[in-house]
Amino acid sequence: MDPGRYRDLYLSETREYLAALNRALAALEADESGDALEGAFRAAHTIKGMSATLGFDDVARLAHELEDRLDAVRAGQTVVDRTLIDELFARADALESAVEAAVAPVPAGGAGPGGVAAEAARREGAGGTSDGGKRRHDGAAADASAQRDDGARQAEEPGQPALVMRVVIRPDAPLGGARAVLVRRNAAEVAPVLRMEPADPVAEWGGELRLWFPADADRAALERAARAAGEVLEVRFEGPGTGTAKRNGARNGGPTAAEGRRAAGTRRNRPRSWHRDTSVSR
Amino acid sequence: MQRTVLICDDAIFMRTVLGDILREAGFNVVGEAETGREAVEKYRELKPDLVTMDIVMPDMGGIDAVREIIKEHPEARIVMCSAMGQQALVVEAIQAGARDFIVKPFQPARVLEAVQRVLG
Repeated sequence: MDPGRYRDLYLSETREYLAALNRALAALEADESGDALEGAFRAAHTIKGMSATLGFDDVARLAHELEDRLDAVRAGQTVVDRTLIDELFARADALESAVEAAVAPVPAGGAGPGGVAAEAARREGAGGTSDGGKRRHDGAAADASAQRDDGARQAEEPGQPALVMRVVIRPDAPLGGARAVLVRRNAAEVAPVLRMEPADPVAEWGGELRLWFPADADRAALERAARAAGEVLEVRFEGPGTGTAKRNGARNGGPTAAEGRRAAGTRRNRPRSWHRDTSVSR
Repeated sequence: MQRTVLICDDAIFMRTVLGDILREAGFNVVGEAETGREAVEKYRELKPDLVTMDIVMPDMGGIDAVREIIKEHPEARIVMCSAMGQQALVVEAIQAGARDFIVKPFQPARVLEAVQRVLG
């Protein structure tokens, strides 16, 4: 991204959001209203996104820290008092200084924009601590846990061998856990997912997903569905007819897709009852 | 025929950056929305091939906008625009019917990969 191309737009809009941030903090100081808190959070969040887009990492970091502090208030982990208000205003001031420094012309032999921004931030002494970007976790964990119990029971019934699909997500893919949820949703359109490990990929993502299906599920269709989720590095199958743990997946789906089609025969058109998964998909 | 796109983000800057990436790749940006509510209204009006939807917006957030659009138009193809640290919200958006997601700061190649995946 070329910062010069968007510099003026960045600066004018960031200044508007900084003004909105200060107005929201003043309202928060006055009456602790929820609207003010939401407004301040949105302003910090938007400044973070715009700054990261232009590579102003120090500005983005300061905005992210402010966003985290506001999120802690939203979550009821921090109370609004004089000390917090002072801290939030100090952080807003530091953010403003960092924005101006990031877009300022770099003096000959001087530090780059990031260095200037970092220096401005240090001068302002934003201080404080961040909660490390921890976010509220919605009901996904509980849903995934319930699904795991149900799926595990089905997958482990005697005489019901399951087909296991291992999906490796590219290590450089952002939000790999969310990508895994997309893989699962796509796969559930092909065959019922009996079990998933990790049960909650958002909470415990390690780069690889394992999904259990009925033994006669269509492997080629499953592989296509998994790859359609994007950022998939590799798909492998284990279970009946695959040679356990035998690697039969390959990039671009060559031999795997062919083998999958042979094994799955004509089982392509599943009844609609297979097409909706009730745990992770809506 | 050019594919049509509706860009939803409360920041002009983000709409401009994303719009430039998509226009330079040959897409036709037919509309922009600054709030979730405006996104729902513009979807009804424009019926674009694709929607890019920010998560955090005033009036109505991006996830609620996805729910509203999908309720009326289950075939809608929506790509969420997320920041790092919003993974749980992205999952919520997927459960609401979003087809894919891209993460800020935008990398043009990744944006176009996601868009092509969703449009098929």
